[in-house]
Amino acid sequence: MENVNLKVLIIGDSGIGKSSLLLRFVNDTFDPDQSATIGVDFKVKTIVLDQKRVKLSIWDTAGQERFRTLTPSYYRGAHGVILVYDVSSRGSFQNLETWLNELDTYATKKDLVKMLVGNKIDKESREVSRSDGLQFARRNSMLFIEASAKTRDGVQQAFQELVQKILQTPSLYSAEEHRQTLDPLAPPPSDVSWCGGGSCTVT
Amino acid sequence: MAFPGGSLVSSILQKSSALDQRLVESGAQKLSKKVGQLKEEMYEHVRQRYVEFETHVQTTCQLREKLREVEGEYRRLNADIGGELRRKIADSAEKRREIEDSLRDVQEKMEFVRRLASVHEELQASQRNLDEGDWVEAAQKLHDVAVCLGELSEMGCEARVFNALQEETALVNSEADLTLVEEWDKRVNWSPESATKDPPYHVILQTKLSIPSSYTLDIEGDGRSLADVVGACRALDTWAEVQLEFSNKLRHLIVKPLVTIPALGVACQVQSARSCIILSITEAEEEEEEKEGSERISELYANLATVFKVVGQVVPVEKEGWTGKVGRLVLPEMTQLITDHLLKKHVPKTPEELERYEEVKVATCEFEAGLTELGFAEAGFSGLSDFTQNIEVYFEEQKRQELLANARSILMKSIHDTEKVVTPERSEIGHASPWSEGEKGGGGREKWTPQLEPGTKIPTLTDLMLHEDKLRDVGTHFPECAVSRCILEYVALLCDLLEASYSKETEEEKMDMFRTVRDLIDLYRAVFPTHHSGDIATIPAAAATYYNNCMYLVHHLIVESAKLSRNLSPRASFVDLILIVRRMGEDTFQQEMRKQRESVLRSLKTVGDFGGVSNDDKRDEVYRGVRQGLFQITQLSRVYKNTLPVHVHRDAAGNLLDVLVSYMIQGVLSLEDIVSKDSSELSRLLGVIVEKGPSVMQMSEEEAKKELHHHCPSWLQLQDLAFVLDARLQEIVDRWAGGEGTLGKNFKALQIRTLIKALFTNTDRRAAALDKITMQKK
Repeated sequence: MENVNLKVLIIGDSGIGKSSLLLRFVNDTFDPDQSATIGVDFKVKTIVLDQKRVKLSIWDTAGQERFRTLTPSYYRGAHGVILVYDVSSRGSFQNLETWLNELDTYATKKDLVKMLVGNKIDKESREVSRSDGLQFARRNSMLFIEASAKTRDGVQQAFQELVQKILQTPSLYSAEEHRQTLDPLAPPPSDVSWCGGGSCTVT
Repeated sequence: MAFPGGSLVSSILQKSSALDQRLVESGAQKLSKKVGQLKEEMYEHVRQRYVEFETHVQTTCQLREKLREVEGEYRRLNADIGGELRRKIADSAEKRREIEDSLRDVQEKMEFVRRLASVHEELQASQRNLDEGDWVEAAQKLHDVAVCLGELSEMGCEARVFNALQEETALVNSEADLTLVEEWDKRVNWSPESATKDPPYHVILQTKLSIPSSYTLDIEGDGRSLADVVGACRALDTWAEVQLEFSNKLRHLIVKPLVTIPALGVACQVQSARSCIILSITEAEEEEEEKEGSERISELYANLATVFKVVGQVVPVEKEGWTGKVGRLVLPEMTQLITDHLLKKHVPKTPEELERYEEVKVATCEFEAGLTELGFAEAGFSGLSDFTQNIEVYFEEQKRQELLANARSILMKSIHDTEKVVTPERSEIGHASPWSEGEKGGGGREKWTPQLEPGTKIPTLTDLMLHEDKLRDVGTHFPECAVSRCILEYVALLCDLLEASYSKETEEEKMDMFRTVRDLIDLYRAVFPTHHSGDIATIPAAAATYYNNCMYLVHHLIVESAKLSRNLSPRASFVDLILIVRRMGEDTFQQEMRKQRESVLRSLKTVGDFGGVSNDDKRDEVYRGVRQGLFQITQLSRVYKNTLPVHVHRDAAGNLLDVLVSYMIQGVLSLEDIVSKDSSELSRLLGVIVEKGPSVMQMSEEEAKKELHHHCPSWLQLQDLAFVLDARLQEIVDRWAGGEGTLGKNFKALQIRTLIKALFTNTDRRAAALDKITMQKK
């Protein structure tokens, strides 16, 4: 079975459940008193997909502005990004543009796969409709899913679809690259240029 | 007739003297002849006398030789006779000695046999005594036998009978020991019978000690008293072993459990019917509330006093040395246990408790006096009161330890939990920027310098004393910035301690508290940067907060230093620590800035040179690098704005922006040929930076116009360069204005000339313009 190493980032405003999504995906647990991430957290999970053993290095970044200064180092070499907003917080949805701007500024991989995740769908006080999220994702060539780290809904699918898309993107997933060990601090390749890509899936 | 040369008289005199001479000569010849004759006569006489003498000498020698021969013979004869006699005398003496030795040997054997016989008899007698229950007599006899056997052993006897008797003695001794121990145990009865070092709880609960109510009376009805047993034991030298065994049981089954297990107590019963006293371990029936220290200690003393009174009654006779011996075996461990398990654990925590501790002191002294009175302790025993009498020292030490532990826990709280320290008035005490003046880019902000000599960063104690009044005015001022809440709490603790120290009565007490405060600052130096090292090294907000924290502490130390000399002592000072803490903050932030500068440059360096920037790919690349750099500075600036004092934030952000701007300027100036399309593109690119600069700095446009060039020294140069890149030749020359225009202020003539050469083709107009710039600059 082929081994593949992938780097995935989770970004978005503070308090929208990025760490909870990661915790649910990696440990299948949920902590209602999850503390704010300081700097950056890092977890590893191996999944088997399409006859490949995929080792995911998932970087859970801090949403709080004061901890968002490590930017260049953790964007470097990312294959996919999960952009999260809180469906019960209009503000977190409106800030998505800022996050995309940051992503656009720093991402070094050509055809980086982006996944938009609307979290906390278990909450009753929804402020962002599903169609709003879907439209935003389409406009920015992103995958889209709504999820709840608390109820487990959509979490596994979000990561799995992202990985599947990465594996289907030849410019990201080349035989030469996946043999190399990921070095998050390595300088970005000199021939990098940014162009949007990806497709949108409806769940 | 004439005589030549003389007269007649002289001739006569000559003749007369010749005649006299002849007369004298003839007289002399006669005398010589007589002398010769006399010599011959004397020689002859002497020769005759010598011949006679020689004959006598020969005769004498012969006689002497004969005498020697006779003497030799005499001596030989004498020696022969003497040797024979002496040999005979020596033989006789030897025989006499042998006879005497044999006699002595026989006498010794007789004595030995006699003593063996007596040992045998004594052994038999002691066995009889033992059988009859006369232990004292038996023990005495066994003791004598042991002494006797010891003496015989020293005589080197290895006779079979002796060995047999030794074995027999050992057997009887063992039997006696066994009997005595049994008799002792019958009277001084322990339950359980044996004790391990740490018996299980259920065994402890079953502990009982039963002793006869009378030492001298026959309680058991066998006609013997405990005194008889003790006497026998003493005679047999087993008394020490009995005491040791008893003391071990006392330590393991009663004393240690009583001290270490609060729920245990003792009960003492006098059973008249059985004429015995029973001491037993009891357990509190219900779970009692935890007792106060002094109550628990007093209770333990009461229990132990009961125990020792009972133990003292086992052998109440002074001369037996019972209590003294038991005391020596039990008290050292007991004292240590009480100190460790009770006294140290119940050191007063508050002044009120310290006042109440007098009860414990009194109870301890009474307990020790009781032990001395009972004979368990020697006069002057103070194993426990040594601790209680010095309780003030332990009280202070405990307070200090608690203080340090509290401070440590405060310092280990999150560095990220910050609070804005708000200043009511402007002042920047203790807040020099971590960068040197050269890097700061000039004025535009207020500095706190009135009290300090120029160039002196850290005030000396003298400075502080001289400017104490002014310090009081500005001492409460501190620039608005975010400080970790834990540091606010920690500094408040320091200040409270210092305030408390001023109210202390003695100089020594004051200095003790001052030293504690210094220890707390050392704790900050050791704990805070180490505990938060990960965050400080990786999170810029944490590095900035750490810098603020250090400066906040420094600020308070400076203010407090001024009070120290007035309230404490001229010897008390924080000056050395101020220097260290300030350096800690500055070094960390400088290191952080170096890291961020490198990071900004890294995003730009990936772009390469700025040639061919009008090419689509290259343009995207350059814009991307610049955008990354600006984005990063903006992020940091936002963080710094919310964290650092305003001027430090602006210096820091301006410094980073200057790194980016300088790099861009140098990149453009290093181009030898800039085509028209490239120059327009570069001008636009620099225009983007000019446009975004204020927002990067988190300033309004108004502020930016006034202040940006103070914090970012290359800012004006950037604006001019953006202009030059898109300007006509004449406009450049006009703006140079003989070196007096803005270009002249921001660029060197050589730089402008190089730029013109890169931007414009070689024409007469260009040459004229270049000439102007050269000449006019000169």
